[in-house]
Amino acid sequence: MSIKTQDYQAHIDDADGRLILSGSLRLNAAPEYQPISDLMDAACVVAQQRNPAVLTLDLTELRFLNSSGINLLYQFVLKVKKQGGLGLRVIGSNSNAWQPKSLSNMVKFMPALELVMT
Amino acid sequence: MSVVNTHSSISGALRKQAEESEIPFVQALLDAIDEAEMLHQSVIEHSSELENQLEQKNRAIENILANMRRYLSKSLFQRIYGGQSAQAGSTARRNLTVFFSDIVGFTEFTDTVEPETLSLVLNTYLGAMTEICDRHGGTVDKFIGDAVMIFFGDEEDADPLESARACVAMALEMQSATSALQAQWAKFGTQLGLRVRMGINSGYCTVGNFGSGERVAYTIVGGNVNVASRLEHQAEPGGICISGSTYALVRDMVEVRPMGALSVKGVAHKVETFAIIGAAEINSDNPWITLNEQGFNLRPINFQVGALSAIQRQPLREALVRALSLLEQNS
Repeated sequence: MSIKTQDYQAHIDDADGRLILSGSLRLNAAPEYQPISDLMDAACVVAQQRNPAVLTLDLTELRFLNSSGINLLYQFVLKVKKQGGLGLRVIGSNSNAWQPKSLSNMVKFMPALELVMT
Repeated sequence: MSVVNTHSSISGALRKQAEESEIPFVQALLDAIDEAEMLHQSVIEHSSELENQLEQKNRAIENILANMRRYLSKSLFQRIYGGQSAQAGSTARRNLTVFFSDIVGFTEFTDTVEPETLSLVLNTYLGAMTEICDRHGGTVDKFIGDAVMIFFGDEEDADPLESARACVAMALEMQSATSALQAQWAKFGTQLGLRVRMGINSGYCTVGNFGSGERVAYTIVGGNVNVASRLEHQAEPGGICISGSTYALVRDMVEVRPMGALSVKGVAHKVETFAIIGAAEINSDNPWITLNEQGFNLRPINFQVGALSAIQRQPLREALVRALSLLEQNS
């Protein structure tokens, strides 16, 4: 599954099941983010079947994310934590200026989340 | 937001009472409220981070624009800043007045001085010429060493008459400015006898962006550009040579001496040429100098420091600069 537009791409890697978001995500509100939200849910299902059951969220190429987008990510982390049974690993890059601060805040929502900054 | 406000409103005793409650629903509600507040705060932090980065980027862009201003003429900067096309191929035919200038003997000078001196001389000269050009509304097309290429009248609503007059007024002021520059250079020990040749022509040219997809230059092309360049070579050191088409537009502004017709490669007709002797208004307005066919008459000057105000000194200064310029042209 994948979503590809001129501004951003979102897809589940066939090899290791990681969910990769890249480009510039600046959709207007939650309804516009629904296709990405659906893709994230699909990535969870794929990850559940793996051993260990850990979903890797790769954001190293996500240059920009607006506040609706970060809200979606935080809500997603909360949902994974509440559902239980699935580990979460987030890979970010310090070269995307917004990531160090905003991604470290994810750990507040799910202390077991593994954050890797490259 | 309403959830967060609710949270604030249940602070204090009420909050404590709720926390002590053993009703699962109340506990779950408190957790949900905490979670919503954390979410809200984190999204705000993210937004603030983006806003701060945006501000930083804006400042960086302001700095880049400030630098661009130094490399581009005012009118070209405005065209780009105003979002007009910078694609190669966007061109138009315009009735322009084109100006070329060149310092006499500059190449020899460059071979005899230290790079620091050369840089000082060239930068002060080009800086002064650009400042005068900007003030008269011209576009500096390019510098080629000490040579300067300028054009007037590329705006859609430009008046060819005004373009020619602004260009000639600019050239006259540039010639006057060279003596002040020479004095400035002398302070640094440079003895370059600064004499500049200038050529001006008016006519239809193609103006616009020329180049490749990667790199474009806003410039002008056409036979009339070549004519202006030839007129510059034709000018006497320290003089301004204009074509008949320019002279027709500035006839009341300047005193001229006909220099004959000139053949220019690629231009079908011969080009009438005229050397500018001086600004016409000097004869009528300036009490210190009178121009005539053979040269000029200066009124006797008995100068005493403090006797003339700055305003009264100005016409005297202009008359002396004019006289010096004519002496230079005919030496």
